[in-house]
Amino acid sequence: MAAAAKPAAMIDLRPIGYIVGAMVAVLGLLMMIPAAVDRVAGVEDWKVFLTCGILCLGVGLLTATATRNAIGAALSIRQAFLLTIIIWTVLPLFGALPFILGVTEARFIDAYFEAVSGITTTGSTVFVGLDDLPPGINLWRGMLNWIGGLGIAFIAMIFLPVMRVGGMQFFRTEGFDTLGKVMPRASDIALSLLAVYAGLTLACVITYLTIGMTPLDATVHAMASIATGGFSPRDASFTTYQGAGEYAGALFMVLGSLPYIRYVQMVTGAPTSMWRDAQARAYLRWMLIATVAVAVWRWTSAGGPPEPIFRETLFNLASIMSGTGFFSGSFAGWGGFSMVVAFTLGVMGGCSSSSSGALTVFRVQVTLAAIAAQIRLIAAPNRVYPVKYAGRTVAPGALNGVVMYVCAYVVLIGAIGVAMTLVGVDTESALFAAWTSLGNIGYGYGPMVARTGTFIDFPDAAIWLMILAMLMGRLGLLAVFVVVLPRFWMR
Amino acid sequence: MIDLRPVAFVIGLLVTAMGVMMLLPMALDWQRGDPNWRAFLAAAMVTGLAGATMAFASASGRGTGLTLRQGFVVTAGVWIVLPLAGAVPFVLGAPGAGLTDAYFEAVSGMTTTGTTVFAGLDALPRGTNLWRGMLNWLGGLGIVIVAMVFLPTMKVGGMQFFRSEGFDTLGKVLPRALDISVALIGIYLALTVACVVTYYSLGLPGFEAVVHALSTVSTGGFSSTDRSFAAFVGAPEVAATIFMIAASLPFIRYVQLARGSVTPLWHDAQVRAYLRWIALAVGAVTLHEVLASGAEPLPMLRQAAFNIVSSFSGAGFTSADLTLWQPFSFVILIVVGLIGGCTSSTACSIKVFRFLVLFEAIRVQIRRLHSPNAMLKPRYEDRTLEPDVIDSVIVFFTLFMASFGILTAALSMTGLDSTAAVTAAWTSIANVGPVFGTGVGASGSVGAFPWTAKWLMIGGMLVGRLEMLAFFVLFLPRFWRP
Repeated sequence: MAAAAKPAAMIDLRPIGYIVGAMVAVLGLLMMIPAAVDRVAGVEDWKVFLTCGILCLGVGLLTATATRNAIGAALSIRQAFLLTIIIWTVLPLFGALPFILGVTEARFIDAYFEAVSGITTTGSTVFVGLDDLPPGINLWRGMLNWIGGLGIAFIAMIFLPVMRVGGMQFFRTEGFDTLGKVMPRASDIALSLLAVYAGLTLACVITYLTIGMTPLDATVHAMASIATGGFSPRDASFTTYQGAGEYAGALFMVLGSLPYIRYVQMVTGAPTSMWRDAQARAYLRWMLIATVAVAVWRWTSAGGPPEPIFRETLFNLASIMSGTGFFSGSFAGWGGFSMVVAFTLGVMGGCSSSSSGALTVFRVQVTLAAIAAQIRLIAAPNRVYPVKYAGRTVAPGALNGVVMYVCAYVVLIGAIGVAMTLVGVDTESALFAAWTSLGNIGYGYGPMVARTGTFIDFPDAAIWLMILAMLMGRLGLLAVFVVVLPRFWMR
Repeated sequence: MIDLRPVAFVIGLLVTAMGVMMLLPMALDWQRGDPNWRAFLAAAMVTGLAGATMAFASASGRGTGLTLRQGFVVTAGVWIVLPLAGAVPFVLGAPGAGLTDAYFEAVSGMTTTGTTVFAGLDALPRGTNLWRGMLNWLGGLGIVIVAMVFLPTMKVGGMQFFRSEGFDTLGKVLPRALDISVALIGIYLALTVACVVTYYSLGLPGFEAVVHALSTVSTGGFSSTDRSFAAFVGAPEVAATIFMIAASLPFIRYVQLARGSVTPLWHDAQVRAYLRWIALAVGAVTLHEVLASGAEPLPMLRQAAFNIVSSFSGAGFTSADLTLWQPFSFVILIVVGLIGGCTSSTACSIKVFRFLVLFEAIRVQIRRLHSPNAMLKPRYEDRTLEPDVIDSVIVFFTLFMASFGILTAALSMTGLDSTAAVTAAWTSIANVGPVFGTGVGASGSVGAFPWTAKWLMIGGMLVGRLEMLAFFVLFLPRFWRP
């Protein structure tokens, strides 16, 4: 190998320490918001948030100071891998503190699960009785979603294309032609992304308020909708706001799972770019087809007034496909066909370079194109059939990355499902838990979930498996395995 | 337009052969004084005549040699048309089945799936049960020949990797196909005879020994009793386990073995991985059952080995009520069914070879992520895997999963509950055999399924047996244009 000729040296961890430290400090600052809310509401819990905030701030600042001599050093690809993984494993450690010290008095594993579920925008919960929790805790859960969604949109736009994870290098030369190096105009992109994200959230809050949500519900739901997170301050999730609330929720979940790069382009002077995006179009088309099919199926098999059926179907399918995880009504009685469609949509997921998880529409489209090319190739073995996406030929490297990602994803759902059954989860709950955590969806289904609608009845080992799966799903599967390779650490 | 005369000629001849084959069960029933022999005679005459007419009508296409496209049409045609002929005795004779049920049974037989729509197998005339076993056996023989002669040339699902290997004569579609076929039939027959003798000496009655041997060696899974292998617990289970494994190893290695070289079989990466994975799965299931539900270790080992191998190889016999297994064991049973046996055997599903290629490709992909400029070559055994092999293997894998998903969705639309829909899709696409869930009879029969579900399963079995791509390619308009 060409690279092996260089002298051996460990990866320089200081730039990573610096960035992570700074982020932990920011997290500490953010905890002041729920502290303030609880203080105003007159709940004792505000002291917990203050303590945790100061703790995070201290640890974060110390770490950042200790590694500050690395400021300005550009990140290598391997450092970028490591940084991504450390952010998503370390930040939840600090984000979990209020759950341990606060009124929820969660065990470490439950608190960490909740924080990971939040920051990976999964939205599965282990807390029962959300309505009775102090507003600060629920706000903090929403904020974890929101931060995680922003973070992944940022990573997906800036890091993943350079890292070549799962064929994302296809997007390197497209859209922003500035994405060529790891951190060239990252701050520019980050700023416009932040503006779009905040703008969407604000619009969502206002919409939710006008349809009659309480201010806390509107804020938390808005943050969880735009982040496609799915934490709700209500045990009944969106069942509390049936009617206009479901339509509004569906709209904003879809908006949160469209490619953010198109929003940025829309703002910077190309208003039609979203409409012309192959991925966004396919996403909306597929969601519409699935919704109509399931709604018609439910209507013909169970009967009843069509509008509530359509509304409920639209909301829940949008929630699953975008990887949000809100629910409305009881999903259990929908029948086998609806279940299979929902499962498939969850495996597909939303658009790449958004906060939604799973395979992403882009990868599904490329895989379908590859299958079509293969069938043609079999009919006429001597011709060349390039795989095209949005008018461009997908280079063999990117194509391989995409299809491999799809295969690895399917294998992993199976492997995690098997592992869950091994620790005592029944088959159906295990399969859906693997599906929900790897795809960062948040829906729970199966006998073990049925009692509370949460994952509280799962054995500890299964909870750890879900944490692992949520992280792997969020960080692009292969990216996690890279760091496990001994070779990664040698040079 | 493709010249269909050679295709029709080949299929016509095979249909005639099927008609002649029906004389065997006829003779059995006649000798036992069962009136059902008339049905077989009638069926033999109908199919024999129809086949002969077809062959004569297209005789002008004889001897022209098949092009690649004609090869595809023959392969698909054989598995679609022959079961029609095979279904005739079920309609005219004993169960008096309707077209759907009869065709389902015959397709299930010839694709070596082994799912049955008939209940009360023990009460059927012996001729009918023998015919079911023979359908398995013929289907198994057919697929081995196709897998060795056709698929490598057709480049289906990465099988082109095997083109230049082993037999270096596989370069053209039908060069020495006859030689290979003769060698294969010899081995297949020898395995069957060994299996019959073993079963018989272990205490199966003569007739049961023959039927079960026919469906063991073809990894088919039809049984002449409702209880399947639960009727022969003990030593026959162990023997069946061994023969099911033997039938799902690459037959090309047996041909080499017969010519005196043991090393190809022993050093085959696929064989080694297959045996290793079987050992792992059986070990894990046994251990889990012993620890979790306190089963007796030795009988549990035997039961686990039999049922896991039955699912792995795609045979589909059962020797216990598998729904009583722990969730983990049950999931393993489903997973091994999705892996399947080795290529160029009677086994079905994705196959060990493709998984080995997939894992190797994923491994190389991960290493490429962190050293993007290194030249990394995926390897299988000692050879480099060409990109087109990897591509088609991976596409095959995703297509398999996609078809599995779509079939599950479609099956659940016919009113099956989710367990039944998933396992029915699994059993048909992977040609395994058992179905679980509501609507499945106590004997494992799917006779109570709605007719739409049966036709969907027929489609799934054909798609799975014809290795997806070889089936889907027929739906390409371009395929039929010159």
